[in-house]
Amino acid sequence: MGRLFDWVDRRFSLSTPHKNFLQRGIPARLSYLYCLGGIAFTLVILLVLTGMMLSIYYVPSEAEAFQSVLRITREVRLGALIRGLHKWSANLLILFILLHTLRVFLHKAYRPPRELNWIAGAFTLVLTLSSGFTGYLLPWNQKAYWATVVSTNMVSTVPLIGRHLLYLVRGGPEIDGTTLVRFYSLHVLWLPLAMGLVLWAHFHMVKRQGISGGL
Amino acid sequence: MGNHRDERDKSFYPDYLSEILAAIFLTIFTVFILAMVYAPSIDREINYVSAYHPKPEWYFLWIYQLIRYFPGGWAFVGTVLIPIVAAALFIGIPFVDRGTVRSGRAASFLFALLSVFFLVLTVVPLLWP
Amino acid sequence: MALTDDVFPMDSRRDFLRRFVKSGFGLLAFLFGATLLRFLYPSQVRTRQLLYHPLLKEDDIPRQGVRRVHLTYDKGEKTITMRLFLVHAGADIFALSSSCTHLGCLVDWSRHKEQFVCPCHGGKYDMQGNVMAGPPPLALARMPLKIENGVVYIGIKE
Repeated sequence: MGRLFDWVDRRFSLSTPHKNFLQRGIPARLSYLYCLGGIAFTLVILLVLTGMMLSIYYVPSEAEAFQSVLRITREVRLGALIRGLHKWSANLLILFILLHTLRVFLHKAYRPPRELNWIAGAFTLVLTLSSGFTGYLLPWNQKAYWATVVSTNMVSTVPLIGRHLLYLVRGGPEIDGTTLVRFYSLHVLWLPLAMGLVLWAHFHMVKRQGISGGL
Repeated sequence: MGNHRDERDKSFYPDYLSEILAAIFLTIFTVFILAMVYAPSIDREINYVSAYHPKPEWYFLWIYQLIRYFPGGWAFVGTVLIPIVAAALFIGIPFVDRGTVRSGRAASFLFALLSVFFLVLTVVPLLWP
Repeated sequence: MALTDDVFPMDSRRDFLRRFVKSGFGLLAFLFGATLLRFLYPSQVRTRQLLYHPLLKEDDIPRQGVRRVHLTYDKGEKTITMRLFLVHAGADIFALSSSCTHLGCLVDWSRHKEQFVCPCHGGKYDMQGNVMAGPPPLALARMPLKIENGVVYIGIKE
């Protein structure tokens, strides 16, 4: 390691307590399919970074949301690129989570003691889909608005309590600025925080239980 | 299993770290290429007064297709009930497979069923919109 | 009287405390959940009243058949434009909401099929707004309508 790292490490003591972790045994000749989860996590990091950047210019209000997305795409330098990165990372994330799930299933890596980790992974998928759903409304354009009209109306089909659920999701009878801010809050605070917690648990269990040897 | 080492094991650092970093690099590179070649559209401002047919992202197409099959008062079966049951079955897979050959097959069947369900309902609206 | 081990044995005191803490946290979790739900639920949905807004002159009502019209009105600081259908069928004059009762897409009037058609999931309604085909569970909503001094008014709940 470099001299700067050594200097920091002598004071911060990072490498010694993590020696066992860094030098832990990993079954030789793992296939490249074991990369899928890591790739998904890379995409999560990309999403967090580009999302933080977009939040600098995005305005979550009924009157300004669409204009601010226009500004990000047309005026902000590299704005279109950052938006593209966010969108593509999101789509690829779902794809790679699905592929990772397939790999884990085929290797039977959900068997005891890893049942809980399967559940943590499933929660990750649910949180990702929820982020995709709430993020879809944020550009506040034609497609976003009407797609959200239809999808939020879906909860109102629940017998008896449907209408109350609809009000709960929309923050009112119609989709308006209240709904936008609500979805924005979920998208940038609640869901990423929950995601962080669940992923921490996911990785903690991988670390403790080791990598499943496969078939 | 666990942290104990095997003769044939490699260690995470440095054996695997470089491979992981290569995967990370390739991922980021691919996303950059895609973002530059296929930029997302801005679409247009909301039009509150004309008929419009919104379509969801590809990962929600299965629900979009599902709601077509449940008319009238049965709509909640397609919109809420089946998705929740599917999610519950998906989460429950480790508890179906209890290590025996038979339950292992049951779990495989369940996983295959959910996969086919997802794939078919995603492909159908793509082919016949 | 002092609390002695005779009255409250140590074990049962500890047991009581443990149960107290457990149920206390259960109660807290419940309260937090209930508070969250109450907090997220909109505050004004119950106090809505019916207000009438002018739509068009009585002379502009179609002789017979369906006419697509836009109702524009102010709600707070916002101007809302809403699309609806004015129908003159026989002696009846009524206004139909253009929101599909299935999942809320806007329906269109198809002149040659004489039907309202929803573009999203294929719902079809006749001129009266009754469901002819497709998934909608209910007829198109009839909106409150009144005619005063030659002007047609539409009632909106807000």
